[in-house]
Amino acid sequence: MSKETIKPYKYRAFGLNIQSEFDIPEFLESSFDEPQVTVKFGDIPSHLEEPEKKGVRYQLRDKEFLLWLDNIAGYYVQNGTTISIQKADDSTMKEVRLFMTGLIFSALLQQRGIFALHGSTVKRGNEAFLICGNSGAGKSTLTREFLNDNYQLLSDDISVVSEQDGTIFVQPAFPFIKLWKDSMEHLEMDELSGAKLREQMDKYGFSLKDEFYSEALPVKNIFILTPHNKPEYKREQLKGIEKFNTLKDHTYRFQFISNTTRPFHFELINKIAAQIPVHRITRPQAPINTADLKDVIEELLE
Amino acid sequence: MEKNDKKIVWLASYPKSGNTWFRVFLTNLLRENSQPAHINELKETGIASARNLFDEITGLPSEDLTHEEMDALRPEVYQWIGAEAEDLVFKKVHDAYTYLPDGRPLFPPEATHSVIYFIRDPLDVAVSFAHHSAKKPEKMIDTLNNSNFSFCGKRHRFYNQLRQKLGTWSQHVKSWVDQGNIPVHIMRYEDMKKDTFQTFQSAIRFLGLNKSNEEIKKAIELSDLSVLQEQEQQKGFREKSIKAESFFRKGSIGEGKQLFSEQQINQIIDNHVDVLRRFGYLSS
Repeated sequence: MSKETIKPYKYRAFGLNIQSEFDIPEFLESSFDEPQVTVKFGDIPSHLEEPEKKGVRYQLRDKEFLLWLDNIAGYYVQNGTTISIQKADDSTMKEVRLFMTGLIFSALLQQRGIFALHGSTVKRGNEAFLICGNSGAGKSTLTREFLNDNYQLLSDDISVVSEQDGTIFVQPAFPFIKLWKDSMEHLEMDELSGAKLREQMDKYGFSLKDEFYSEALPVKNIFILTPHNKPEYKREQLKGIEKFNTLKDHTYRFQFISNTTRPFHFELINKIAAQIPVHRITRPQAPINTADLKDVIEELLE
Repeated sequence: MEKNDKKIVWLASYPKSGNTWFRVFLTNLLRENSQPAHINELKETGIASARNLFDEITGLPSEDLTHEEMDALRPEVYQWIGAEAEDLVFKKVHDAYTYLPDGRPLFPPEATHSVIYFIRDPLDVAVSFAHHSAKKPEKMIDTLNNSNFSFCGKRHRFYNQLRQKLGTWSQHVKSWVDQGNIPVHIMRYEDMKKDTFQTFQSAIRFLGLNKSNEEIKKAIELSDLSVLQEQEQQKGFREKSIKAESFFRKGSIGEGKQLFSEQQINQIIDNHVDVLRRFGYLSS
């Protein structure tokens, strides 16, 4: 099927039907009649009136979010349904999509009262577990190690969690994983199997459609990966307020949550904390040993 | 009255020059506790190149930005901090004082109160830096002489700090001391060791902090090297490199002169003679 015949482009990601004016090859193609989310090119406002929160390159108020990346694009998200993009002349579509698929979608999800944890999700049996952590914790590298052992991927870096009928579920994101060159070397991966995300950086993106699982699954465990400057490994099950705070701190872009949706976020974190075991795994900073970490997690999953 | 955004005090130095010691002292002085502040809780004097600070203030995911893109935004991040602050804000810095390709200084004068610049005999810096990096001391002489030296500057891996360009040891010193945009107070490590009270007191007076001599003396006691060493032994220090045995070592003066050969000492003198003379590290 040629690209022309599938316009407008239709995808499913984060549990949503997404229609786009342009190709988003990172997402999984889909078919539907009515989109829940529309992605389009268009002019965007220079600023928001009376923003509730702002930073050097973003502003937000209830149901409106604005972010701009110099020389790449400006993004305007409305009502949890529309993403408008004003592309800079010199940027590539690959760059425009790189920031849209994670960062901008997280703002859109939050406008819908949907929240994500900063972590990757791996399928195991009929359930899933999350590997959360701050940037650089080794989430994607460890996830790739699991995939090498025939586990399946639900998401890299951003994991949408929700509660349905008393069970915590995780939604598949999209079949794509990002790895730095040093992680690829550790995993003995060939750079030709992926593509550079940006010309000036040795960071690669890999399309993983064959290793992807595209249905929501109940969450069995959450692991928080934390590097430290000591040679030993530590594992501890989190309880009480520490568990709640750790989950809150690992919310994907917590700063983008508006005052209106904050109570829903609080409620969700409470429910996750009440139901799902959360373990913190502290690892030596460098070098990462993904085989050891995988053993630690598999032991805790038993 | 016009709002004054000039709130940031840069605690700037080449590594291993007394910066952390002063940060602990300042933390103790500001907190006014009877017990010493813990070395793992020095949040009042966090590093300016922290990645999470950048991400929080810009809203951008720095992990997908280039070094150059992050550099271009850093002045705005600091202006933001200056504008938001009620009181003075202290930021540790290992970057040299540099200018962006468009001419803006990385550390904007509009947000800056002043800089305290820490300087130490480069021969002792080399020894201490070698322990910190788990490298041979003679290797560190090359580092101090390397005009392209930077922290976190490679493009194939993630760092939890933004790139910091340091240059050679004397380029670093001159960049801060001679920049001419913001007020500078210089602290020699050797003076900090020899006459701690007088040196620290003059820094506090320079900053205009309303602290009594007794409060300064108390904060110096709570920041004694033995306290820091004991804290590190018990719980570790999160700013230590994983390769180093410990962060707080001896902090002694003149170790480099004893350790290095005449040839190695000359490699430092030849490259840094002007700055060495200017700051009293060469008698002739």
